[in-house]
Amino acid sequence: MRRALGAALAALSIGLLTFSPPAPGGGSSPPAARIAAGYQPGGTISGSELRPATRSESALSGAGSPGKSRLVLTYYVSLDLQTVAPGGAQLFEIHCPKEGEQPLTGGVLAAVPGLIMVNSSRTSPSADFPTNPRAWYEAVMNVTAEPLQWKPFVTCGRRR
Amino acid sequence: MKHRSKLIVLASVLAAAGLGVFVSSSVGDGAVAPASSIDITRSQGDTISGNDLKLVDTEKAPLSSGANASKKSAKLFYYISVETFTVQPGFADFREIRCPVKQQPATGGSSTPAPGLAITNSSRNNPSGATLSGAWYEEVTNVTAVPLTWQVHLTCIGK
Repeated sequence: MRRALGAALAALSIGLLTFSPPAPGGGSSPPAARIAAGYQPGGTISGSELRPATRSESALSGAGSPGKSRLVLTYYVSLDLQTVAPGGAQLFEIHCPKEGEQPLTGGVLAAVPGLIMVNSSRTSPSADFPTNPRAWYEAVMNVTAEPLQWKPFVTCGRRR
Repeated sequence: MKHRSKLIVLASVLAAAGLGVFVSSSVGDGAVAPASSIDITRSQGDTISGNDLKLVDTEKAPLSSGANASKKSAKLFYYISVETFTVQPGFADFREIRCPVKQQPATGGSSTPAPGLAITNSSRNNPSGATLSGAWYEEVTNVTAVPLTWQVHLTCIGK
């Protein structure tokens, strides 16, 4: 797995024309010729722009009924698809929607491969934006030559 | 908070409008070439102990809830490495990060001021050696042609 990933990155980086990752729907995309040196400011995704992930999306049964667990986890995904241009990078500040919730981790929901996670942290990586007390900062970069879409994902936790 | 969020969104819209097309407006601007090659050998990861971490947002981190919440409820602690690490083009940086005593890692992450460091490992298990208790294993790979910096991020759960 690690070698496969390394090989894929190597192929992308050296611009091999023969590199053709499998993608849903068939076809392939060449690697991006240039890579953004900075983030495209995606802005903030507030609680009203998130919805709880479905069971099939979270693939975890019983997530909403943890029994005696003192920590309740809820998985959220953004309502809107975000588009990243070839070689571009996009950073979002995501807020947990409910009072008392804190983010545990962020994630990326992408229909096709080509977007790589380049930031996932509780702190803002941008000096332009201070860290929000209830936010997670998730960023992806498109390493292909095609526009790709994704939905930011966040796992939030609260005490029972 | 809402006011600040609106400002951020407004800034995004203005940035997009300023470029005409919403493509690669970016903090820092410009573009870089991809790395000419990627080194896929993994070195022994340096350990980042609790002493090398700083707590993020201490007062806000504990989970809040209603008045009936148990005092034994779990709390979240967010840490970021004191040191900022530099990754050369095409190379990876693999780190073993340890939560402080009596805390367990929930997830790792990376905080990078510029894009280009792909997260190539983020796991509770050591992919190249013995797994230590209370540790998380995080690795990034620089897919650009310029050196990039990052700080390790770690979320721990404790009481």
